[in-house]
Amino acid sequence: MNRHWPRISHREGIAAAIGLLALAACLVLGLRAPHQVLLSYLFAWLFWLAPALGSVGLLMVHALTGGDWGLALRPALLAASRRLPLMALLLLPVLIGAKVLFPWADAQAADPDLEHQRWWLNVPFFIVRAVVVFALWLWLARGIRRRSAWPSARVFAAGGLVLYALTVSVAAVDWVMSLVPRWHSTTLGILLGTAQLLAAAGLAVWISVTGRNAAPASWTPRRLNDLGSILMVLVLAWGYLAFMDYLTVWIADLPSETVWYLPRVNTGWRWLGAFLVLFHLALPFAVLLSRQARQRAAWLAGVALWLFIAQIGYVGWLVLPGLREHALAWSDPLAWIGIGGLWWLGFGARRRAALEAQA
Amino acid sequence: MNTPYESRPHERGWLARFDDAGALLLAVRELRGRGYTQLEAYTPYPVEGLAQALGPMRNRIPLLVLLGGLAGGFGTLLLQWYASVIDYPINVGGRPDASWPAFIPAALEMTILFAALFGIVGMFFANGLPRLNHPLFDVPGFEAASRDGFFLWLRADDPCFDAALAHDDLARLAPLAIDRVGS
Repeated sequence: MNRHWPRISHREGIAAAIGLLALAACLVLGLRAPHQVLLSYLFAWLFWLAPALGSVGLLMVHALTGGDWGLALRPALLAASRRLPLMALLLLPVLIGAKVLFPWADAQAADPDLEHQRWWLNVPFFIVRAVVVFALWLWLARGIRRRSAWPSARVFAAGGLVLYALTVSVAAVDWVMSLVPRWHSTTLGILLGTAQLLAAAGLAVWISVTGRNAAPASWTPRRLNDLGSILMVLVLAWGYLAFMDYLTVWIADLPSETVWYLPRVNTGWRWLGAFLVLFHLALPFAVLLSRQARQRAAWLAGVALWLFIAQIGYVGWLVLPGLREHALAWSDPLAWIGIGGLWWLGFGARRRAALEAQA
Repeated sequence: MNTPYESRPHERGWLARFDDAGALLLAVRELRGRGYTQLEAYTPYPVEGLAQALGPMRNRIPLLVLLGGLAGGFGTLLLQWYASVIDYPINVGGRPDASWPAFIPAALEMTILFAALFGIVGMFFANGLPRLNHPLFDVPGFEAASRDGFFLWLRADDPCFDAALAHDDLARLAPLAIDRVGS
């Protein structure tokens, strides 16, 4: 691994410039409606965190299980895992704006239920947790990148995955669950982690299969089939966890759990829920069931890209409903473009370096 | 040869034995090139590329598995709906009789069970079970297919099949032996 800054291609430069412009527009909008824009920003940030962090998770899963799928995706996963420092930097607005963004950080909030949560939900501890969680993630990413040798990587990955599950749970509680402080769900951490693995796998499969320097000869039907199976497993795991969370809430019918679902199923947001069930779960599952579809590079790449894109809907579903007057704001796409534009800086060069190291 | 039944065209033909997997694969490709489609191959171990060389196979198992899954899933939903709405409605904490979210886990399990059962039972039937004998077993030496024999069976129901011509085509491929299948 070279220590130099990666070379930035022309297109990545343009994307980053557009991203900076979009973020500047967000800032201008944010001066007028800080809560609304910070929520958009949190949504966009969580979306782009997923492929970076999920890649670390997938690299660890591969170190533990082995398999050709991981070797095929490795260059893209390594490049994506290098986005983590950027994502750590981009968390700063959320930390700075925590007082505005999170209902529990408002000192005037006269909600007696919040009193016994204050030991966890207070701004200094929130920032400490964010720093610790990111330090651990960066350490995991660095560790798994350096250990390509088999036995040491396995031990590291086994411990790392446990740590990953725990830290993702902390992150999910802090950055998603605490938006509705009265709500609690025991599934959310693992659900968010699975969604991140799905987003990372979708992006990595799409980039690896369609990449300009992907030799078509190396994409044998068997290899494509394996990648399709990985995507299918992740889609099913994600769908299963999300449905189980909904089912237990629906059965128990307790206020502390339904408080999160009510703005999602009793308003127009229910159409987003239906969209996710049909087009994020049922359709990709049906396509991936077919062996012919899995073994065709174009179909597989299309499904992978679609799963990645559809995660926009899912992260929106997690973060946005019920917290502001209007369902959508101009700052949503702006923040998404802003962080997304910066996300790709140096990605191509990193991936090529990893490809060459592998060859 | 004393067979207990008059064998039909899809149970007759020529059985050629080859030296090794490579020779068999070459022979299959050659015959496919000549337009034969009804070819069967028997080898002691899976030979890579042989399935593709034999050409597209009519395989209805995936469709059967799909139908089984759909029948199991929707059947279970229907059963639960009938049981809890029509046959024996009970008020459980004020929830609607037709508790669709709660119906889904059982339906999912039954989808998997029925898909698997349809697949396995369908596979047995597609393999010709419960039939226990076949004219192939009357060919001397055919049992070597599970040891070191590589066999190619040219079926008589092939549109291009002509007993004498097919025999010549096979003989040109230099097999170890050619035997008649069926009577």
